[in-house]
Amino acid sequence: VLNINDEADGITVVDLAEDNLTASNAGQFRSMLAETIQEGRLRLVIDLQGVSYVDSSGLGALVGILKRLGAKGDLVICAVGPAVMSVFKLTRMDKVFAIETTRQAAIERLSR
Amino acid sequence: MQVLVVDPDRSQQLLLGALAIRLGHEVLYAADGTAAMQMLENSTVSILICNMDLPELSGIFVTRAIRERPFDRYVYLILYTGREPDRAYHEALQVRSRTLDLRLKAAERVLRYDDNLRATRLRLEKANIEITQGLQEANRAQLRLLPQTDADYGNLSVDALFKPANFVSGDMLGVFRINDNCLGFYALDVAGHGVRSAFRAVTLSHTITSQVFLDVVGGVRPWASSRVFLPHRLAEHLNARFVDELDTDDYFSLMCGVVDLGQRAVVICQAGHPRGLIVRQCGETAWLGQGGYPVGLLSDAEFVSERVPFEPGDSLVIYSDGISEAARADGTEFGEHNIANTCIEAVASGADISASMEIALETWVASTRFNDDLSLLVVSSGRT
Repeated sequence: VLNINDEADGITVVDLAEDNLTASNAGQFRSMLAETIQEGRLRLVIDLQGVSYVDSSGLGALVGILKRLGAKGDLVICAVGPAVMSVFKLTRMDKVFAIETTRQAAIERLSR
Repeated sequence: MQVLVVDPDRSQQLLLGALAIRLGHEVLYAADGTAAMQMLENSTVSILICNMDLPELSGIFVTRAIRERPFDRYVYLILYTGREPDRAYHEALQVRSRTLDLRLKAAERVLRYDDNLRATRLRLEKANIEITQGLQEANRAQLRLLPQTDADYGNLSVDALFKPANFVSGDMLGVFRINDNCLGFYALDVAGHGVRSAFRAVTLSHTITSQVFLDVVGGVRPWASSRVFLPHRLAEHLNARFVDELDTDDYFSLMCGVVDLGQRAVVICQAGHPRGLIVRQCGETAWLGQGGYPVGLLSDAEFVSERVPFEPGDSLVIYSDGISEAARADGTEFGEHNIANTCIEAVASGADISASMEIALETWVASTRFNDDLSLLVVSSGRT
């Protein structure tokens, strides 16, 4: 489900290897990222490049990661496509998540 | 086990039958292929000992016919012949065949294995029937909780579409008659699908009682002319009750509010649910809601109430994302545009919006089954 790559400055970039985040893969997504956080990787970029659909379970998984990081970590989501962004806007998650247009911009935001 | 010996020669039948009886089997006899096929149909024979050289239908033909027919059991076949070059078989039979003896024992092993498989399959089929019956009963129970469309709602009327993706739904709808001109309503959609979501949806429908709705949304005097409805308070109330800091699986979207014909207004709170739609008798439409946090996801989520005009002849349409996101084969979703057009056409023709929407959706996806739960609630005033 995920490709996890460590970058400089303790930043970890997570790529979703599928074109959707739904009930069928949200559980695995959530548990893999929980493990990543458990390992001490607390500055995360989730790259949604190529993800065309996020359903309610996928949204719950993303918020779950944000909650798990809490005050001890940071999360930036990048490359959010128009369909996914419309779900974020409908549910006001565009106000909850830090969102950048590109992976590079997300990494720079966490590096500041 | 039942063994069928097929041979035109009676003495040969009895010879082979005696061997099978000695091994503990029940033996039936047939003289030709046609009789053998009939006996196979009307018995539980699972081992066939058959002469290849039968009159009319040959043993090979019988073999092929058995393999092509869908019996509820495996039929083990032992063919023999007295013709050259199958001399070995002939000799084996003449000496009451140790070979045949071994073959019958092998057949027993195969058929015992087949019996076990059949028993397992029957257990699974029985379990599946029980689960299906349970889900069908749960479906009926859930349907009984939905708004009665033929009830008396004063100067308002209610129409609804409710289609679970699979037996039970994570969506729920509810309405509460406040007076002849006021009707409270809610529509919710629990994250995910299936039984878990349905349990939560039904729990929520028992939580949002008429009394709770009026106490929370209506303030102290919901029937007074100076009444003010604040549906966002219902979202706040439910959010405080159901938010869980660790579990983000069980949140839900909610659209709730009150249609108040006396004040010519509808007051709504949109909490993660798709936008609502007002369809006017003249065919004009107005979308309601500016987005909003879902309920049960974030403890500090804030909710707002929104007030929009609602005139006699108007219809308020609330729907779940299963409708807007119903996709046809190429992935194109039904979307707001088609929802609005379907409602406009229904209003113009005097048809029920729910029935028109169901037909439009089934046409769109080219199926009567959907991947997500569908729910639609319509509150209308004096449609002509």
